[in-house]
Amino acid sequence: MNRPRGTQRVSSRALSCGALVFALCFSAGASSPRAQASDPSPQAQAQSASSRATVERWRESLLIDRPREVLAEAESHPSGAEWDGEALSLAARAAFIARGRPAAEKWLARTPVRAETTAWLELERARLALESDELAPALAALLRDAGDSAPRLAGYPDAWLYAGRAWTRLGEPARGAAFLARFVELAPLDPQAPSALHALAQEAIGRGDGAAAKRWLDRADENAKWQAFRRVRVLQIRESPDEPLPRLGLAQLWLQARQPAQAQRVLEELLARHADYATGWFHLGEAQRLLDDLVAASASYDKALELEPEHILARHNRATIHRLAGRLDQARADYERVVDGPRSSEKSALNSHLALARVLAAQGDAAGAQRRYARYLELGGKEPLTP
Amino acid sequence: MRVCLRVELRRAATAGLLTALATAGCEKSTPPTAPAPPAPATTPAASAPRDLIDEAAERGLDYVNRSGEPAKRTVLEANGAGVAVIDLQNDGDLDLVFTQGCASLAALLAGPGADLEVFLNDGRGHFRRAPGPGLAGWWTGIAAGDLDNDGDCDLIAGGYGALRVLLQNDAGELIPGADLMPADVHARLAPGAAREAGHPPLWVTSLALLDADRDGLLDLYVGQYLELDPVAPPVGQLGTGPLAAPCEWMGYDVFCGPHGMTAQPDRFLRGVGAGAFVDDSARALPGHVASFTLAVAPFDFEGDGDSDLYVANDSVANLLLINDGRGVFTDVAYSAGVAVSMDGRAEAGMGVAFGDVDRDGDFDFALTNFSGEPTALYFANPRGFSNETFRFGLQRESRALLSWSAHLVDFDGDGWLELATTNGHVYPQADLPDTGTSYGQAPSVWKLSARGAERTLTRLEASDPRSVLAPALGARGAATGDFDGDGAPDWVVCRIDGPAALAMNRFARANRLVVRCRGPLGSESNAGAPDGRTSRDALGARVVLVPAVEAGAEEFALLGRVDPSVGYQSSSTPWLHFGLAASTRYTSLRVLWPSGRVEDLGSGAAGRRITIEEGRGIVNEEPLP
Repeated sequence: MNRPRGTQRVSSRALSCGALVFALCFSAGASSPRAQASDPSPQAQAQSASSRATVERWRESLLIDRPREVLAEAESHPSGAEWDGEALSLAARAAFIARGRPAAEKWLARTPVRAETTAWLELERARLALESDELAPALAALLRDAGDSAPRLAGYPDAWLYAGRAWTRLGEPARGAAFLARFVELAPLDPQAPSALHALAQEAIGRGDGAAAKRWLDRADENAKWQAFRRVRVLQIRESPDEPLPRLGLAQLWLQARQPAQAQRVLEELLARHADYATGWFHLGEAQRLLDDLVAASASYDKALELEPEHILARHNRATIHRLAGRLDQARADYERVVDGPRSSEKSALNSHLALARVLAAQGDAAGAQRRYARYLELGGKEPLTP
Repeated sequence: MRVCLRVELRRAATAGLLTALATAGCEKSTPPTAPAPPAPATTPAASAPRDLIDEAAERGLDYVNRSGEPAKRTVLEANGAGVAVIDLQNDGDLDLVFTQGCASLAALLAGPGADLEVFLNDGRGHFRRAPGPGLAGWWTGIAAGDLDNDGDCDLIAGGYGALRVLLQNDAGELIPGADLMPADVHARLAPGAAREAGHPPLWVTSLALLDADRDGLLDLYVGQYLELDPVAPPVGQLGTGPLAAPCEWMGYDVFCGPHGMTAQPDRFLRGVGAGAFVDDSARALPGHVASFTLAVAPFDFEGDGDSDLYVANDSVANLLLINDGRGVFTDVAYSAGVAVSMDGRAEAGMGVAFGDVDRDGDFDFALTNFSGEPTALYFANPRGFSNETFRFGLQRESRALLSWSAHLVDFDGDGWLELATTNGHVYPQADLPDTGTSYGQAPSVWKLSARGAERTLTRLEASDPRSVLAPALGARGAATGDFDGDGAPDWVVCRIDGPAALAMNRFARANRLVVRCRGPLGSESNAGAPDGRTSRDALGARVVLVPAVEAGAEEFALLGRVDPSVGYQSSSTPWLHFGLAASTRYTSLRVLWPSGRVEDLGSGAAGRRITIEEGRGIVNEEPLP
């Protein structure tokens, strides 16, 4: 999708949460999986777009336990062509799962590798050592000194994960915990995050801190559920690529995790296949709204409303974008369409009653505002007319 | 509190031998940083005799397992059978009863179903087939114990839609007794009876007999697995429509489950005597959550003399159920560090075995898991357990294996326990390219030792083509017992879709003591015992043996507990086998009875098989050949 991007920045919190993103709104506190940094990491910046796409695809294959897919693609890598280190490390991981360590080592020995990406290979070697119970060598590969509080490759979340695991497996969970805590900060949605969170919970239990253990455990459980759903959605998409619901479900997971860019990517894939899917357009609007790209969001709501004029959440959110941009007449028209429409008594329309009352008040129509506000209260609303 | 209980046990158990350890305090010391484990040693093939030789065929054991179709279209067909070691006819030798499945799920529904298969021992380890008890079903887990305290051993057999008591009569026959399935008609599966789709039966996996409330009557923990509709089992995908989830593994289509299916809750049945039980789950297992149970084993976690339970669950957190002494269990697996893996992953727990691996006076345990997940080894420590898997190098050894039954047993008599596992993948697709594993897998035996921070693991290699460790044939349940009466534990292994193996102990002759504990007969009492009553089988009795060593040699104590329900869907010998290494005598033999009584039986010679009865000391002994 190639959509215009606006530069207008207004708080997305001013907009109502659609029903499908309620969970996101309610779980934005500390217990939810934290958003990953939206800016690409230095490692990602060092990759070409095609390498990035390869890495993402291979990570997804490994997520659903399909190492053969990775190997099949990796084996078609042109002879003599330069490797991206991260991609090569994933090929080695796939080989380890599918064929054992010697096969993985062979992949890690391949050349040439783009110089700025070779750190990935070091990390993968440490991982292989860890998986082979070579705990001290793994730590030696990860740390400059056994007393270090940070790995050599501190910009790589996996370095923190592996160092944390190595210490924990050596029977030093307290030393491991410091590394694992940093890992979950850096990569809260990594597939290994639940494991790290559980290990942190166990470490807290070991030192008698039940409250901390409970916090880690709650996060671990929430994260594990999210990961399980993500895995199922990916499997469903692979199984039925033309079905819209699995992609929509995956996008909703990303929205719940406050990863609107990921949601946007999935929704654009969905809409490329199902351009007449109003719900997809609405959610794309939501993702764009969360990315503060209100022009694009408004255009997506337009599309949703073209396809489904009574989509009250899309209409409400488009109206709110108009209102925040000072286009009160347009906002009023959309709100009126919701509150005067056939679904006006639904809970999801409630905020439209209040918003319309506020628009009318702002336009000087006090009587109209009071009439709409009375209806809002009648339907169960609690907010004051004047915010 | 728990630490001190363990210290008490150690004090009582070893009569001062380990005083320094016991009085070191109730706080855990900082664990030492261990070096990476060395590459695993393997025993040289030339050093025979040092093996477990499969002599099933020449010894008349012709059991052949049926476990559905080779393609394994449902999870029921993948889980295989178990075996019980039991003395039928009270002749003192160990006989065998196997569970059995059917040729297919359709064959089960059509009837007549399978019976248990019974093999009688002639006392020298030769078997002949005897008539089964006449059951009909798809049988899975089995447990042996004296259910009516009449002095002979009885059975409970579990299956897919069945759970049945079998009482041994005076002729040594197993007579079907109480049906322990709940009243719900759909819980049962009767082969040949009409059945509608949409009603999965209860699926019993492993069973554990224990005396939870120490009233002298055996109770039963019933592990249960998942909801599988026998009429319309899911094939290929779970769910319908666009949100159906494919059932696949490593990119290959496989049978469905357990992920995405519904777990069945376990049950606790309280023994009320004469082989009868009442469902006491609500009281005994408060807050229990259904968890895809595959294995369960009793042991004593706190050293307080009662029976706790470890429950191995498939793909969800395992349970460590602590007994309050009255048969009410609380799960403390998380706080003890044994709910999930050391990395925090809920793994596919398959089988469990207990033993004092590091010889420090408390029970450690091994837990088998799925391929890609290591068999785990946990050492008891004052606050729970420490995961020793990686320090032993056991991940490297076992990650390609999918393991089931586990036993911690001293095959070679050197005073250190071996870890024995049966292995074999659930998916025939494991033999397709690039799975990192294989469908048929030979059993494994590793020698373990733990001295201070030093951990040693040595894989036992087959030295003979007839070794049970040689053929890469998948197996499930297994049990240990001395079948030929030579004092050395043997190993019977239930291969899936194939002949059972009778792995005879062909290690070098060793100094051993073989101990049987017996509680009072039903008509007798043990008045004056502080904590209750010991069952006739003495399940839960602990024995501590201190071998005599020469001055300057390393002292050690050996700990055993009478808990035949171990491994996976199986029941091992009630006899305890102690290997005394170079010692031909012991300086101390102490029995801690479930009744609370402690008996010191002083010193004695190795090379014997002895029977100890509570309050009467050694009532029978005979030299080992």
